[in-house]
Amino acid sequence: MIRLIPFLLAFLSLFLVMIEGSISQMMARIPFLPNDWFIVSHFLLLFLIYVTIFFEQKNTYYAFSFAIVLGATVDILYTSLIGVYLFVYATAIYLVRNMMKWLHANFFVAMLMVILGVLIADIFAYFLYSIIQIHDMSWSVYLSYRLLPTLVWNFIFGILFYLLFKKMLEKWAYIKFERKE
Amino acid sequence: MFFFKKKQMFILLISLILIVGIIGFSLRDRSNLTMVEDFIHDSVGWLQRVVNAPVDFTTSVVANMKDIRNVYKENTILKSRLEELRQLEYENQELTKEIGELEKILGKKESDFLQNFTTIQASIISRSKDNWFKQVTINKGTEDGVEPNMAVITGEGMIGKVHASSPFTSTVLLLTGFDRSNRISVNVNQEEKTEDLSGFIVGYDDEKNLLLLEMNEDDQGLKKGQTVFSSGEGGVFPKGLEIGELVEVNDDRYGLTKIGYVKPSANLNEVNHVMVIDRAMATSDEEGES
Repeated sequence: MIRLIPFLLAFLSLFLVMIEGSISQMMARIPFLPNDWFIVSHFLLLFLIYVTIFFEQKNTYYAFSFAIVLGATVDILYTSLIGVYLFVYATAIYLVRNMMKWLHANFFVAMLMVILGVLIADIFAYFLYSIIQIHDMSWSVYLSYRLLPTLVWNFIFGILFYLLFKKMLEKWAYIKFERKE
Repeated sequence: MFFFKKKQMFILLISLILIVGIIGFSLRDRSNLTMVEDFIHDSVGWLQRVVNAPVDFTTSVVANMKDIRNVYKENTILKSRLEELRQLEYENQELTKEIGELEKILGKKESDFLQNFTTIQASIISRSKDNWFKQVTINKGTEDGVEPNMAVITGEGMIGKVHASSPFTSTVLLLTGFDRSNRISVNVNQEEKTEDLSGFIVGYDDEKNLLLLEMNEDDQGLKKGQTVFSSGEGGVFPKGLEIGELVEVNDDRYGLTKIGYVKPSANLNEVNHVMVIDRAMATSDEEGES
């Protein structure tokens, strides 16, 4: 079981990456939002933030390495550029990790981290893509039509994931790091 | 920076250089993917098909319920169309026979005609999660005969072209993501004349949500309501794929040519099953223009 836990985490993360693509296709088919709103799901990031908060120890780097590997997977699967989500997710997780050194892990801190992480990731992706000239959307349009809906959408799923994964992650952390047999 | 240790600073700089390198590498216009990318596309695509089964089921149930409401209305319209259809079918048979005879006289093979193509059925398994990239993934790849630059259509019209293909999956660039580096050579159908107008689809207007059509010369015949077809002259797409309908015509900046705005006939969002077009005529290795 102890050996298995990192693989379980990796598999769950990969599963969430897949779900992101399926959900985006589903939302395109059943439009329940105004036409010019765009939502980007950052499920992988949400999960990795919770891994950082509830699972990670001082000397382990699971969330960070998953962010690098699966960020690259997101790039390969959903974009034709490699490196942007890798960089963006790794940065977000790195910042969350450093902030968690001073903060206590509870519900409100977790929600704060979710909002911060999603903001960092989405805004960084926006700037990187505009530097590479993938799009020429202005900041104000981006802010109201993309960033805010994305934030709300991911916040809702953040609460959902908190309920789903928090206990599980804490249990796994206990099994992996504290229980000595 | 004062809060970084020397070692951390070093690692940060090296990883930044690496990332810029990777982005630069993938920025090149490439249709052949590396083996790693192929592997990730295919394995995730396979898993995604499994995951999609229940999702597909629920979405199709919801879509069906939406359809049921319109059944009566559609049925009455369809009934009135049936008569027309019978006549068309008869005409079609006659014409096919005639074309066959003419082909024989000319001594040309099937593959010599721009119109001829075979189709490969595929379904969409996922869509790019961020809307910066207008691309979807389909469940057929090079093993099924899908190659980069092939046209992708639905029953209503064209939706895009194959961007890159792995052995078992391919990514499709939707019409909304087209730009100058992958334009489509098109004809505009004039109803009263036999001659078609020729031009290029050069991109997509994000604000109007319409395709941009640039004509080759100053064409006075361009009018609203005309239908735009692929011309088959770009070398990749076959002739006669419907692309959309002209909804607006303007002069360009210099007043030399006309710019048309084309509404795609296929709904690019609500698609699930698509056809990949394999042109029968041998294609030259022209890049870009299609």
